Amino acid sequence: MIIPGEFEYVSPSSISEASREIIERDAVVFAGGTDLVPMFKEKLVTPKVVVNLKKIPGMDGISFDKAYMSIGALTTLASLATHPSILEKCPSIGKAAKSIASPQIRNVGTVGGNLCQNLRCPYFRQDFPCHKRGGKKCFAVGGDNYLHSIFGAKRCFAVNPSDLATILVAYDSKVILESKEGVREIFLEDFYLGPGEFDIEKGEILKEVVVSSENMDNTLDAFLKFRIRQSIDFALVNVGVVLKIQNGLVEKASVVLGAVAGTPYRAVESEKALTGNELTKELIEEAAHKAVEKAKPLSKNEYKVDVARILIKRALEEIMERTL
Amino acid sequence: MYRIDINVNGEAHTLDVPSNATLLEVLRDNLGLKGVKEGCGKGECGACTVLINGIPVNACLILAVDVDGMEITTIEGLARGDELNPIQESFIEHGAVQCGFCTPGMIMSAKHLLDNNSRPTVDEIKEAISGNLCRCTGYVRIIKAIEAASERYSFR
Repeated sequence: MIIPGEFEYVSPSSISEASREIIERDAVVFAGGTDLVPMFKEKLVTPKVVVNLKKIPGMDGISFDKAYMSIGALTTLASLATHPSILEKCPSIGKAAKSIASPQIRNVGTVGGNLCQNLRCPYFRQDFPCHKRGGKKCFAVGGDNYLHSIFGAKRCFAVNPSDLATILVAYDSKVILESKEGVREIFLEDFYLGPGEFDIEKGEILKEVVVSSENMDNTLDAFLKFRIRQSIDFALVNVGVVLKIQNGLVEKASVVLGAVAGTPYRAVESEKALTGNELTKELIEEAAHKAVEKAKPLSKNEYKVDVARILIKRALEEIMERTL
Repeated sequence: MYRIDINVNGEAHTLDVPSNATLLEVLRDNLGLKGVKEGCGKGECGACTVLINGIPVNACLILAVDVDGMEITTIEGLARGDELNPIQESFIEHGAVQCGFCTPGMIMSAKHLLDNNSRPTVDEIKEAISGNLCRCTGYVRIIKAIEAASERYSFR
């Protein structure tokens, strides 16, 4: 399988140069390429100019400050999955990274690329004239929709496929977007606008992900992923949970589902049920039920409602066991 | 065209490659290393696994222009003359090969594992080859072959 057309490949040494290539020449941003190269091959992206970020210094690596942890956007998924401090302070971020794709892809694929990856909807990938391809319908509605949203959609029912997004939103992470104009810092949760839609201005580059120490200190986390195959497979549903428990009571709860909606889905009702209460079996059942109360499954994905509820239950039980 | 200097299986090459050439195409078509197999072409099967600076990657997903200055090892780089690498020997002895299409990639993943972990557990072996699909053997003989190879593996 070949990439059909040639393109100009530029490797700038600064974000502002890369930013200029995007604005002035419509360059496609390229890092690990594990998502983009197949899209080039399938002609889903047909670039004239490709801007390689790998020669820009300071964009990879994981560092810790008193107040926060920073993960460079070009950090590979493999280094995230094996970083000792991550496994100690926020192990579920490492676990989520390790659940992605295969060892070969994790050695190359990056954190930024995982967060910005394109949709996996088979209709979209196979070039059906859907909303995302300038058409007027979503073929999943009334079609084969076992992979699609259970929380409704405005137009496109594809889901956000990222495993990292789920756990990083649960950690209330922020992303730092940089362009030649300046720097912007927003919550990762707000970065996701809809299926395959990001709050990123033309010329902006996702530079790093920041997790505040407050959200890592004295917290317990869990990440679970439900998929058909145990390797090289996307989540049908995943869940990320981060709880702060003080004196036996849940002081702060973050419960996020992935692959169930166009963006990571924060289960607000579960969080409310958990906050201020003691983590018991009954409370866990209640929180798990509340997470999916508003679900509106399509014809072939009702199973996701059960899977989501059960994953939340198991994630909370995992955390409860660690508090005993 | 973009000029790249690469070292493949210990041999230096200077090549001019188009931007849209993958490492897989360069290895197979420019250098004639047909042991690197193309399966899916999308990073899902692992048949094209090679090592870049000792790390396993899918050659079908790597732009050739990105490997400038790097060291690449393919299945052809494992034997020394007529002497096979212990993993290759072990695959033959254990009947870990049927159609053979996944074998080069499988062995490259196994090499990376044994280079870094001389006595892996069965779970570690499974994890190491979790990016390599085999549609014939059912994996049991492959796992046994890697386990046996680890017992006589000399670091190379």
